[in-house]
Amino acid sequence: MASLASLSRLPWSVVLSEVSDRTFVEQLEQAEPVDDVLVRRRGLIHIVDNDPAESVLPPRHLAVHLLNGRNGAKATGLAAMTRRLTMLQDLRKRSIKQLVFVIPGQFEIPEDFTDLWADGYRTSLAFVSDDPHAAEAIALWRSQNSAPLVDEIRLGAAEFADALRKEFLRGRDGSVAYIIRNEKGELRTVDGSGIDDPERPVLGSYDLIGVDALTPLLPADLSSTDVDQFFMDPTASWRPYAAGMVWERDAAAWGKVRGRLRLLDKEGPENNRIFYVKSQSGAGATTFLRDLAWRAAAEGYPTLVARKGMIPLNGLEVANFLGRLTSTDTLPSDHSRVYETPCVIVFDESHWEGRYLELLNFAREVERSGRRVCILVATGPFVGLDIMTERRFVELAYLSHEVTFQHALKLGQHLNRFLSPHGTDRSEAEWRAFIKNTTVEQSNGLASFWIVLSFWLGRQIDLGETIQSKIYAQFKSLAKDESIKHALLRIAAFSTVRTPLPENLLPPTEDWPIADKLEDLRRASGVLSLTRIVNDLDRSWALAHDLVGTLMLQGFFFDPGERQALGFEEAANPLHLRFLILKSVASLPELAKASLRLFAEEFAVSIFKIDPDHGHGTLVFLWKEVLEALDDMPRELRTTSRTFLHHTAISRRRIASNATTFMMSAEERAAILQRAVDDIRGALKLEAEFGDESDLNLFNSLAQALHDLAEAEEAAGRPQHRVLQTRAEAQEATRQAYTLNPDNSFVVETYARTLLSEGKTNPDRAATRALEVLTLVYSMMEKSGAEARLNALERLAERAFELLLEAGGSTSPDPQSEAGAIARALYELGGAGGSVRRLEDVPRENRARAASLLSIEALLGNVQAVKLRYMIAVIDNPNDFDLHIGLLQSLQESGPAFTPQMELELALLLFQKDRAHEGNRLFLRLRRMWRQRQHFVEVPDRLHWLLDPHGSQRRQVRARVSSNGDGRGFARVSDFQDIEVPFRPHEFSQEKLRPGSVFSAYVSFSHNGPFLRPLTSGWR
Amino acid sequence: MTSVIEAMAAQMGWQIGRATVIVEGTSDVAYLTHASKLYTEAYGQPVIDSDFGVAAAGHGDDGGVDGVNRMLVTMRQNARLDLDEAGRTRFRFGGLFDKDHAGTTAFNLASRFDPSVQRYRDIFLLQPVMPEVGDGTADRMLEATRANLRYSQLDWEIEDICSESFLQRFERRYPDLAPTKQTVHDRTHRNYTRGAKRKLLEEFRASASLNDALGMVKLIKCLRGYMGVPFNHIQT
Repeated sequence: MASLASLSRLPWSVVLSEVSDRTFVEQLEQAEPVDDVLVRRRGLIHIVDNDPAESVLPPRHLAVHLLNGRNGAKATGLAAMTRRLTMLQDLRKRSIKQLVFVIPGQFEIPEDFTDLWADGYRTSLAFVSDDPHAAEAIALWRSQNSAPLVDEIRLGAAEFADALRKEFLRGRDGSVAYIIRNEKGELRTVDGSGIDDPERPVLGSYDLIGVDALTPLLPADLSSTDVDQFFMDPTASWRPYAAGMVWERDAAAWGKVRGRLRLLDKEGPENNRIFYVKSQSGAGATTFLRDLAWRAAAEGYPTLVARKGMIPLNGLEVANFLGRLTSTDTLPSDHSRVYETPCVIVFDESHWEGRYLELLNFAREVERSGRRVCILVATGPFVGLDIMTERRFVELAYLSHEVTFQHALKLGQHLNRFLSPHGTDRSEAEWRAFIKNTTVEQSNGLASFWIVLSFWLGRQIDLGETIQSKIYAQFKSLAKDESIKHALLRIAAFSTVRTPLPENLLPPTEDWPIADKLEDLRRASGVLSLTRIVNDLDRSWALAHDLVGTLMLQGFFFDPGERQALGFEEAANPLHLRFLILKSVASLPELAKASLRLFAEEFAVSIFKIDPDHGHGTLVFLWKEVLEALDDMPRELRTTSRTFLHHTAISRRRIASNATTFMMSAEERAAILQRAVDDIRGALKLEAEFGDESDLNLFNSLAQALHDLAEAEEAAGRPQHRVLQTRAEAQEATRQAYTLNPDNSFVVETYARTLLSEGKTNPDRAATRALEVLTLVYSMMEKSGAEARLNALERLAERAFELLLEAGGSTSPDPQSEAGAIARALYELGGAGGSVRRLEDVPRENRARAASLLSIEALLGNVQAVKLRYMIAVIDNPNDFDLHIGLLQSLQESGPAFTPQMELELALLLFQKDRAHEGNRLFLRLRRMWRQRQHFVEVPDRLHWLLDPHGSQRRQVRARVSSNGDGRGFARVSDFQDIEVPFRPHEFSQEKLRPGSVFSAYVSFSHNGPFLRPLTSGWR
Repeated sequence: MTSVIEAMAAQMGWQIGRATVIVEGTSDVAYLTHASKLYTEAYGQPVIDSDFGVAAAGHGDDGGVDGVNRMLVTMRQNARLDLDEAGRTRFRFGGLFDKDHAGTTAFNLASRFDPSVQRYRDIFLLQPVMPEVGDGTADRMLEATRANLRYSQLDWEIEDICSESFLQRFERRYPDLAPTKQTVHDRTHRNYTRGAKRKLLEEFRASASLNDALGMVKLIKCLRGYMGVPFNHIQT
C-alpha cells in the first residue's frame, strides 16, 4: 500500500484507482508541506469518490479517483456504476499523453478500459506488471483491439514506484532563487521556495527570472544550440539575453523603464506605469521586451514574464504574490523596513489584445494593493484611444520591419560576434546581399525582415528563396496525412490571430492521438517552428510567428488542388480561408466547457472582432458571416459570459454605425443595433465575476448603442414615439454610467451626446444643454491624452454651437435672461463660426466677457455656468484661490455635476488657503471613494505643491513626528492645525525619525492627500 | 479569386486603382474625377485609371479627417495581407488632408494611429505648392516646408485649386454665395458656406474647362508620383 500511495503522489495528470482501502486513502490524505517539490509541481492531492463533475477543484491539483468509492462503499448497483462511468468519462475528456496501468498481482487489463478503447478512446499505453503472463495477455489484447503504442514494463508495483520517484526527483529540488535589491541598490539572492500558493500558483502562469538566468555570459559561452534556438524561438532560454545577443532596437527604451523603476524606488505605487511597445507582426516585440525584463531582473527588480497561452488574469493574486516576493528578506517582527523593491511584469500581445481596459483594471488592483510595479506589454501597431488617453499607459517604442541599410549592417556585425565562435558567421558581402534582397522583397510584399533574418541565420532559407514558398514546401513535406494537414491548418489559422490552439481542439484521429503525431513532427518542422506550449493547466499548439501562419495559409490558398481535397474550395482569398478554418473551430461544442471559457471569449474579444478603429479591420468584408459565426457558437457563452455578450455587441455597434464601410439599409442597421442593445442588457443581468466586464463599461456601451439605435430608427422611418422611447432609454443609460463615474472621458462623451439630443428635442433647453456640453468639452480638453481625441471633442463643441444657433443663437435679445446670457457667453467663446479650441486659446478679453455674462443673477444657481466660470478663473486668475474655492463650494450640492475631479481640486485648494481641516475631511471622503470604485482624476500641476500666498514659491511647513509605521511615518503639521500628514523617512535620509522630532518640509499633493517632502525635492 | 481589397471596395462603392488616395469627402472625389474626365476629352486618356484611384472617406460626419484616418488604417491593414501568388502586395493606399486646422492636426498626428504611416510618403497635405515627386520622402518634406512657409497662415482646400477665372465667374454669377477671402502673397483661400460649396461643384461639373481644372490635374499628377505609379506622361 505504501508504495502504491507513493506512486500515486507523483505529478500525474490524474490517478484512477481500483484500490480504495483505508490505509491507502489515509496515506494519500496525509498533509503535505507546501514547499514540498511534488506539491509545488502538482498542487495538493484531492480524493474523489463520486462523480468528478460534482467536485470543484482548484486550478492545480492531483485528483485521485477511487473507482470503487471509499472503503465500505457499495461496489455494485446504480450508484457504483455511475461513479465508475463518470470517472472514466472524466478520463476520456482529458488530453492524456500516456496512460500507465500498474497492475499488482495477476495481470488483467480492466474490462471497462477495453470498452472505452472499443468506443474510440486512444492514447499511448504502458502496462506495469511482474506477472510472467503479462506479455502474452498484452499481445492478445493488442491483436483484438488494435493498439499500436503499447509499452510493457516488467516490474512489480513497488519497484516501479520507487524507481520512478527517484528518477523524477533527481535534479529537481524545485527551488526558486532570485535577485532582489535594497534601497541602496545592493543586490542579494533570496530563496523564494514556498512563497507560491500550491493550488493557485502564480508561477504556473508566469516565469520568475531566477538567479541562474542572470549570470552575465560572453558570446563564446553560448553553444551553437543556444544561438540557433534563439533565432527560432526567443523564449526558449535566457542565455542569449545574458550574453547581450539582443540587438538594441531603441536605445531610449531601457532608460525609460529604468528611470521609472528608480522613481518607484523612492515614490509610491501611484507612479506605476504600463509601458507598451507598438509592433508590427513578427517585428521582435517579444525579444525586445524579454531583453528589458532580463536587464530589470539583473538590477534586482524581481521580474515575472507571463507564459504563452491563456493565463488567468487576476491582479490581486499577482499583487499578493509580489508582496510575498518582496518581503522574503525581512523577519516578521522587523518594522524598520522602509523600502519595497519595485517589480516588473511582462506580457506579450496575445495576453491583452482587445482587453486593454481590463489590463488597466489589473494594474489598478496591483496599485491598490500597494505594490510598485512596471508593466511592460506588446501591442499591435494600432493602439486605440483607450490606451492613448490613459495616463498610466506610456509608449515605449515602435518596432517595425523597416530597417535602414546602415542599421542592418551594424546588426550583422553585432550578430557575427555570436556566430563566429561556431563558424556560422556571415561575411559582409553576404550581409549586404541579404539586406538588399530583403529590402526589395519587402517593398513589394509582406513586411517580414526579422522573420526572414531568423530563418536565414538559422540556415533555413537561402538568399533568393521566398519565405512563402519555403514555408509552404515545409508544410507539404510534413503533412503526409489528412489529419495532420487539418491540424496544421488550424494551428496556422490561430497563430495568425496570436492565439495558441488548445490541444483538445485539434481534429480527431482514427489511429493514435493527433497530439502525439504532431509531437513527432515538431522537431522536424523547420521554418514552420511548430511549438507545443505546456502550462500547468493546459496544453496548446502554435507556430512561433503569426507571419509564418499567414504565409502558410497564403501558400495553401494558391494550391487549389490541395485546397479542394481538404474541403476549402469555397475560400475566395487567403483571409477568407483563414476565417473558414477559425469558424470550424468556433462552432465546436467543446467551447462550452469551463476550461475553454477564456479561449471561447477570445472569438468575441479579438479573433472575430470587427472594430476597424482599433486595428480589427481584416474581417470587414465578411461582416455578415462573422456575426453568424459568433451566433453559432455554443449557447452557454451567451447565457453566462458578460465578456462575450459585450464584445459581440461592440462589433455590432461598430458595423451599424459606420455607413461608409458597411453598406446596408436603415432597417438592417436598426436591427443590428437592437441586437447589440439586447446583448448588452443580457450582459447586465449576469452577475459580474472578478475581472469581468464592469457595469460602467456596459452602461456606457449601452448608452452609445441606444443613441445609435435612436438615429437608425429615425432614419428607418420608425414611428416617432418609438424613437423618443429609445432616446429616453439612451438618456437613462447615460445617466447610470455618468453616476458611476463622471470623470471617465468615454462616459462624458456619451453624456454630452445625450445632452445634445435632449437639446434638439426641447429647443427651450437648447442653450443650457449647449452650455453643459461645452463645459464638459473644455474640461476634457484639459485632460492628458486629449490631443488624440481633439477632433472628436471639437466636433462635439461644434454641435453644441449648432444647437445654440438652431435654437435662436446669439441674437437672443435679453442678456439678463438665463438663455440669453448663456447664448451671448458661448458666442464670446466660439465666435461667429462656432469653432472652438481649448479654452486657453480663446482670446482673454472674450473669456472675460463670457465670465461676466455668466455671472448674472439668473445664472448664479446654474451649475454649468458656475463650472465654466471656474474654468475661466483658473486660466485668467490662477492664484485667486479664494475665487476658485467660492465657485467650487457653490457646486458642492449639485449632484453628479460636482465631479470627483472637482471635489479633489476643492480639497487641494482648501489646503492652499489654510483651511486644512476642511480639506482633510474632503480627502477622507475621497479616499473612501477611490477604494470603492474606479475614478479617473488628476492633481492639476498648479496644485501639486503647497504654495506661498503669492503662489510663486513652495511653502515650507513645520512638522513634528507623531508615529512611525510600516514603511512610512506620520507627523503633525503646525501649519495645518496639527493635522497628521504622512512622509517617508528614507526621503529625509533617515531610517526612522524619532517621535517628537521636528523638521521642515514641503508639502506635495496626490489624489490621496498631502505628503511631506524634503526641502531638497525638485519641482518636477 | 476575389481579393480582400476588391471585395471591400465593391462593398463601399469605391473605384480603386493599384494605388488609391483617400480624400476627406465625396466632393473632393467629384472634383478630381471630373478633372480626369476633362483631361480624357482633351488627351484621350484619363488620369484616374486602373493605376490610380481616389476614394471618399465617407459622407458627411463619416468623412473628414477622422474618416481619412479611419479608412486609411483599415485599408492599409487589409492591403498588407492582400498578396498575390508571389507574395507581393497588390494595392496601396494613401491619404490626403485639406490644409485647415483639422487637416493639419490630423496630418501631423496620423502616425500616432498607425506608426507605419509616413508623411509625404503615405499621407499628404493639400497645400498651395505641392512638392515635386523628387527622390523620396525627405526631399518632398523639405521642398513642401520651404515652398509653403510663406503660406503657413493660409488654409487651403480643393475649391482653391480651381482656376481663378472660374472662381471669379462663379462669384459674379452668384454674388450672394460669395465667400470670405484670405489672401497671402499670391494665393487666396476662399471660405465658402456649405450651400455655396454645393453650388460651386455643380457649376464646375456643368461648365468648367480643362484650364479651369488644371490645378486638379496637377494635383493628381503629383499624387500619382508620390504613390509610385506612372505620372510623367500627364501634360500640365
